[in-house]
Amino acid sequence: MKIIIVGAGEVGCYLARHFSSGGHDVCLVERSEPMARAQQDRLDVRVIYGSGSVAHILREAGADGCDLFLAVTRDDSTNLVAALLARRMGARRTVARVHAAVLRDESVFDYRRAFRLDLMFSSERLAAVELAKHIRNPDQPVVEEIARGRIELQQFPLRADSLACGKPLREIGFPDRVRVGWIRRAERNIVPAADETLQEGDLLTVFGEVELMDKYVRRLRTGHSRPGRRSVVIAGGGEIALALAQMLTACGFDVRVIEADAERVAELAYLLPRVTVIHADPTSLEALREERVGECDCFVAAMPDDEDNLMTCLQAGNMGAPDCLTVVQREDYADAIGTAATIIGIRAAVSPREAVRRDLMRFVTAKRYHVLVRLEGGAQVIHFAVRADSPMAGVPVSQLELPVGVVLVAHIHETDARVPAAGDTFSAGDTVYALVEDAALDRFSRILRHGPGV
Amino acid sequence: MNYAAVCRSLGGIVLLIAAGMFLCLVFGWIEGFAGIAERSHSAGMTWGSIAALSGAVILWFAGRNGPREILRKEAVAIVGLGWIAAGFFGALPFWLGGHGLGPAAAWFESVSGFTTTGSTVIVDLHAVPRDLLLWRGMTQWMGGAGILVLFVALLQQSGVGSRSLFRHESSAREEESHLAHARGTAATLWSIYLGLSVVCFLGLWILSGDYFAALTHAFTAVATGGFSPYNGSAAEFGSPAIEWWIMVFMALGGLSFMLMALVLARKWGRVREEEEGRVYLIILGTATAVVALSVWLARDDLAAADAIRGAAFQVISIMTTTGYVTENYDQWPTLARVILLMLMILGGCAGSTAGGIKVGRLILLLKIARQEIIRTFRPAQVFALRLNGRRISPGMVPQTLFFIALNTLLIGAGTAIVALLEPQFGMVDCLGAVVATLFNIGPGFGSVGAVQNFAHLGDATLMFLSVLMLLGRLELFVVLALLVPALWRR
Repeated sequence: MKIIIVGAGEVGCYLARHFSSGGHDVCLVERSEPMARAQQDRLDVRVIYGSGSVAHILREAGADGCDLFLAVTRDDSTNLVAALLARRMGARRTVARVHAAVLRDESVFDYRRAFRLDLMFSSERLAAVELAKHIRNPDQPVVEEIARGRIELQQFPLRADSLACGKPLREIGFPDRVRVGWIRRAERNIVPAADETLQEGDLLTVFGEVELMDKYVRRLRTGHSRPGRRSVVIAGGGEIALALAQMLTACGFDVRVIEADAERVAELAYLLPRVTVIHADPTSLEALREERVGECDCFVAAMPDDEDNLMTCLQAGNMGAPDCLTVVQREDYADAIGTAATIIGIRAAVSPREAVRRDLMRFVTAKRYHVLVRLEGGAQVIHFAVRADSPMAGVPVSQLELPVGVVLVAHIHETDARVPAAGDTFSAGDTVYALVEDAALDRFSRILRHGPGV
Repeated sequence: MNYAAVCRSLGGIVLLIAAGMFLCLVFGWIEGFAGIAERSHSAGMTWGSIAALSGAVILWFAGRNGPREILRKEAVAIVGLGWIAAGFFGALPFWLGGHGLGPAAAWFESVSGFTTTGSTVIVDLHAVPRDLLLWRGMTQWMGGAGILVLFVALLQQSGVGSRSLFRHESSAREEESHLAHARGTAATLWSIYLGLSVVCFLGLWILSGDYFAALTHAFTAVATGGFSPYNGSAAEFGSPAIEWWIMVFMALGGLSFMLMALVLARKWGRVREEEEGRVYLIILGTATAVVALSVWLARDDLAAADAIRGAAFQVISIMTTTGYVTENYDQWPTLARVILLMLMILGGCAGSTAGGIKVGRLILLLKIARQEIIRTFRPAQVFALRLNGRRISPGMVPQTLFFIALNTLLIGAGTAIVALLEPQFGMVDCLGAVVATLFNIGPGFGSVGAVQNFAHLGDATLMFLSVLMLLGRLELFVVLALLVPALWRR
């Protein structure tokens, strides 16, 4: 696959290394000469020195015939212009990185369509989605966020003290868009119907819209749905913190953000009306003590400096914060922090680069589908794009003749993500997520290729 | 300061006043010619219009060579002097008409009209010719949406100057307008104002059958002025339907005209964010309920429906600073009277025709208070103050606090001065007179209360109260700026 990456920053280099070691042809375009030269020595990729928003540079990089064009510089405008130019030259798929503010602006204007992008992502926002997943589910072993954090899939065993034990599914009273998709019971797999009775020890796979999941999954696990209000302290007020605070307040968390820059703090207070914004240096012990960080339910370090993040996490953990998360910005530290994290009491270290890579993987697969995650008990969550020539396009879900062991989890149409119902139809360009048992995988991929009834 | 530029603009303002007078004059001639009513025409109207027209010509002549561009200093002077000129020329028909009003009383009546206060020194309105009564209503109608706003909409060329003229007269927060030109904004506001007045007039005409009463009340209801051609104010209609109809237009007059412009432009997103209008309506509803209950419980012979109507009318009339009277609220229980006093000070929304410190400033004050209380235990917390869903500029916080503090001081100092000038007054009378004029309501409490007038006050008191009216109408700063010598230096 021929891939062009514009921008040799943290994200660009990480992706370049990853794709080139995966056997793809990568061409890296970088404006700053020293940076371009440095990458030439470190990476097995073609490096072109020049601006990504200039046509002859893109032509030289081969944008007219590339399979995937990624514009991932720090500058929104450069990325959008480069992606549009590449598309006009004939790039098959274009992806632009933007800052989270542009994504927030999407409700007013459809940037994706205007710039004819296949994907517009913000690495800060993807990292925030990852963090939010950990924060919402402090003790869940398997949680997968789907459709960029709007739909969630959880897997957990049913405990004996759950009020749901011994009840058929229909009596638990789930709403339409939250479903128990799959049960593994005594080495057997069951795709449950409404009258299936739940038993102690069942390994349940539940998915649904994020805002509803918290409430209903708690009901399934304990029998009552009212959680206490949980408090989260975020150190640092960058874009990751902003996106994270917005997601968490939407889920009913009590969020405090500590940021040292006066102008940024004023901005945050305006953008986050339901969040307590504090103007203090989050690396100072005094500020953390003042906010009684030890008594919060979760502490997140999301500053630009990895050293600061690590140290504040240690401080917070020392003060008694039960749950500490950190962001890892630099690739050089990722491994060290990743392995040391559990030893020093940090539950998860989230890297924006890694979040981006996972989100982009679906563009670089030759298969018709891409495996998102393997689940315990012989099943996986896969996702695939519905292409224009796909036999699935335009057919209602109920007529797809899906084999036993396949459950549709999510359907993304344009920017709208939902749990598919029997009457929905897929159209070209949509992305579909499905939970597929190993035994059914072959048949399902045949249906993807040739359509139902084969 | 360029005096020629100021004179030219003042000429334009006085021309508008003269035009209003001529309309009243023509109205009186036609009525007199058709023999519709006795006492249709007053000599004061004729002399007044001639004087105003001459004044306009002289001012224009004096400023004919002045630059067209108006800068900040000139704008402040034009607004302040323009209102004084309006009061002066507007007073001439009352004084020259020979209805027993001295110069101070005529000036008081005229300023009370233009500032939409509605306090009157005329004891028997039935003895006053009809064209003068119409002029009395028209002063309020012109002053309601603003003489300067009308001036900008009709006569002023677009430019920086019209923007400052607009800003200094209107209580509207300028950034809430969705139009680019000050002139466009002014024209929109006046069109809405005119439209409301016409609908109010037609409804009153149909309900009462009397075009003169309909016209004079339509002039003063939407303007939230409160001059009525009847001695017994709006109660003399004796019709619940008319009272409800008037209530609707007083309440609309107390809402922001910017908000109505947004409704007409179908910008629903912005309308939904409107905080001030929502709080205003909630306060109106709550105050009506409490007052109605307190009045109803205090009297055995009162039907619930009458209590509600009377309370609603008085609450709306007082909160929008109109000052029509259907009930003698001076005899209401103390709770009801205290609520009315608080509503007098509070007033309507910014950008409306109402006076008072405005609901928006109260909201802001409460938000600032909350912020300061939280800061006592968490000094590092940062807040973003919003009003109507928009971030407010940092300068607005001290300005709001200063405005409220200065008004409080003025109430205290004014009460003391009235007590000095009118030794026979009780404390409530003095306070009532100051609040009623400073916040442009009209009737106060006690001897200047609901069914009383200001005729028994001395000339000095009348002059002092008319200054308060101007201070209240122009929201202090412009009038106070006239006292600073630096403004007048070349």
